[in-house]
Amino acid sequence: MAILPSVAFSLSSPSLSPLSGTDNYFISTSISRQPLHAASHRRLHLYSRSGLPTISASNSEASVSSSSSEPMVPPYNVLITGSTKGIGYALAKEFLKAGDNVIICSRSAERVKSALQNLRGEFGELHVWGTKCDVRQGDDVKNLVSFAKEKLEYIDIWINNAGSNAYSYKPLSEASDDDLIEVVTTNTLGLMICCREAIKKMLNQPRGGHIFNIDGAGSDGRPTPRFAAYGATKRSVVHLTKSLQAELRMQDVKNVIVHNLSPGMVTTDLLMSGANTKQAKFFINVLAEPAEVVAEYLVPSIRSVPANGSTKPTYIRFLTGLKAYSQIFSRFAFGARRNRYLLED
Amino acid sequence: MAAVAKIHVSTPLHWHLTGQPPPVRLEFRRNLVMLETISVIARSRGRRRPCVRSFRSGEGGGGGGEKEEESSRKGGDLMENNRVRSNKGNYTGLDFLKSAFLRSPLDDRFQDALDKLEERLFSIALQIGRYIVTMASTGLILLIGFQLSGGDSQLNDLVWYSWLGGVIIGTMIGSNMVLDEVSRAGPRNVVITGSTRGLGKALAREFLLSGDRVVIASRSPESVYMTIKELEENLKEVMVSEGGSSGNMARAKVVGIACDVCKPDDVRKLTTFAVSEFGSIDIWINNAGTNKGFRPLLDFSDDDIQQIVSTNLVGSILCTREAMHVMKNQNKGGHIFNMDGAGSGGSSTPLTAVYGSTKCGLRQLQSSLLKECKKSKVGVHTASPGMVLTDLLLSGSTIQNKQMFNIICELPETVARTLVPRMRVVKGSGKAISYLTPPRILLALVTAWLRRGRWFDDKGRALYAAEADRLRNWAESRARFSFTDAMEMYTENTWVSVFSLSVVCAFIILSSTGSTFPGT
Repeated sequence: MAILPSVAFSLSSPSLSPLSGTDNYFISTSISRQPLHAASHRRLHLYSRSGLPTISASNSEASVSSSSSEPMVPPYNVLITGSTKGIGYALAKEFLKAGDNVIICSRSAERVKSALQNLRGEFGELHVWGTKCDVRQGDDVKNLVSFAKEKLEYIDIWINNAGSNAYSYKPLSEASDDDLIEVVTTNTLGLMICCREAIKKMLNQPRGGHIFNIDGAGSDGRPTPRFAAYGATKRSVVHLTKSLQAELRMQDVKNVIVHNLSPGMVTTDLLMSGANTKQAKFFINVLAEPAEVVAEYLVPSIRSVPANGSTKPTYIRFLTGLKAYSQIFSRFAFGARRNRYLLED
Repeated sequence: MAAVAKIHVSTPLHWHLTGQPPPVRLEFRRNLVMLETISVIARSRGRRRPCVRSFRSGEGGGGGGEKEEESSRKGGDLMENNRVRSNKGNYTGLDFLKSAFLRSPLDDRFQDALDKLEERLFSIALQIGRYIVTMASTGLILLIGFQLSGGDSQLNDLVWYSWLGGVIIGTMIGSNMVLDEVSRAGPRNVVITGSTRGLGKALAREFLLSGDRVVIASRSPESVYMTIKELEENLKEVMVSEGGSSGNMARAKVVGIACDVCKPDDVRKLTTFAVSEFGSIDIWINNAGTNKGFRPLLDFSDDDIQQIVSTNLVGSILCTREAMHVMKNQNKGGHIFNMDGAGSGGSSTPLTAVYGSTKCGLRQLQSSLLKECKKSKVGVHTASPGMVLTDLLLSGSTIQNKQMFNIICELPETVARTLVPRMRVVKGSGKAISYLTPPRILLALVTAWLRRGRWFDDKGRALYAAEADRLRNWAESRARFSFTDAMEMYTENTWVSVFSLSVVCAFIILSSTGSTFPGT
């Protein structure tokens, strides 16, 4: 049951993703910035043309609730929390490659600065901005929104990526106070505050907006021993998304949509810090992918959501059940991916 | 033994039928209830102890520990109790045995063993009596149903075989529970967080009246103090109304400390306090939870969200961890309960998005902890109270909500009365103790029409009594409730299996004989 929808999605999305994903990649690495921009514009224009019927339909619907709504057209304005490293950084990079405007943020001002420097070096000054923001602080998040408003005027896609595991994998009874509090407040409290501010901002935008919450291990309700607190918070992420979807439906809001986004296992610090048991090493080798690979897949999927004007909540998964099982199978059958990232036994 | 059991059966029936209490009503009713047995013993001690006492003192064997003596007294009294009621003057087999031993010189150890044997036999008799009640009534219902439907002898056999099957299976399950209860009798040390109002307080009171030692905790020291005073008052009242010195309640005790569950230092203080007061912690209930009203996420302030998350999620995690620390080092381990709430099952909770998602996270935490605690003696469980008429639910609820509450809600005392006996005897790990079981939901839905004006009238005004009045009534009717509750607890397995087998049987009848009965 759980696998079915995601498989359906992964079957339908490749029709879009090869074009925008690999093509972009090629262009951006070989040719200069300007042609890319034009190319992506043209292509996405085509997309929106092909998706015209759905857009106009949603328009007429939306016009019932809010008088002035515009279709969302690229380049999109993207805000990603916790985006100075790992999957957040990779996503930011991928969005920039697609020609979008990106705002990055993180708890540490220095990391924001260095990430900004790298990204600006690659994509120019006018597409990426960054500020310090601790998602656990309501005021910080409010400042982030006003910063985004000042730089970009509106936000189309808001990705709640900031998450923490305190980089420790221990049974709960050995975890320290600070770790536990950090995990819960970052993953749950931070997410809730961000969602609230994002919805608040997007309700006032004629273009509406899309919010993506990143899930993690445990979000399907399966147990996560050695990182119980993290699993519990990620489970609550999925539930929050569900409740918010229901809430927005109750309020008859059609142009602000909350989605889930599942990057699967990504070889970031968060995951690798737990690679000290045999079982963990096995699964990391078999199932995990580098952040760049994941982002390369996810970004076209994310961008296709506003592009085809859908107002339905989605659950975008990188590591679908089918994919996971086939990888595990090929590992057992052919020994594929052995010792890929980590030396086993 | 069977004779003894029969008497248990007949008297309450008689009492119910005539409406007039028989002369020995009190003892009988109480003896039907396992939980209450001990208090009865204690009461009867005053009257009948001399018999055992004199024997013991005559022997000069006061060397046995206080505890042993107590248990032996228990057994002796029980037997006495039994004999006096069943056939005054006549010696039963056991009494004969006892008197035979009495004459011969024997040591303390032997006496203790005998007392223990008596105790066991008595509790077995008790259970047999209880099951005969259940079986007789289910059999009667089946019989009436069968007669009404007018069947033939072949079907009759089938009905009775299914009934017998149900009896056997149910008895096996039930006796397992009973043996467990017997082996682990005695007071528990219980810690309940957030227990100065609502369900927490009701749970604390219920534990207390079951003879347990309770630590209550809450953010404000004043309310902790007030609650201790109130609970002590309750305890005294009940002890007075029960009459004399109630044995198990004499050990009941309530203490408390201010504790903010989201502050690690406070939680540590709470555990050290509990351990220093009582020596160990057997049951820890993470009851502290908050909701802050029903409204869209947009209308929640930073502080609201912060408080909900830190109380529900951080608090539960920290408390669970500290409780695990303590329980791991205890010989008999311990049990931790996390409270379920709306959203635990994973269904969306609009207007309480924050609360729902924390509760949903807790459920996942439970499954992780289950894996982590596999090898330790600590059990992690969930308790789900269903919908309880407390501030948490009622703050900001609309009239429509309240109409719905009429159907499915319960008073905290009712819920606590059902949950506590199950919490006390829980064993293993990963159990879910819930108030709103499918039969209860079904009952609520079937009787929805009758329940319209149960708690709130059509304008949303509360119709139920304030807590103090409620408690007064409740203390008076407590005995009756504990009877029904214990009945339910011990025999529910039997009921379930009897009826499910009957249904299976009915299905077989219908499907196999469909052709012979053109009418069906």
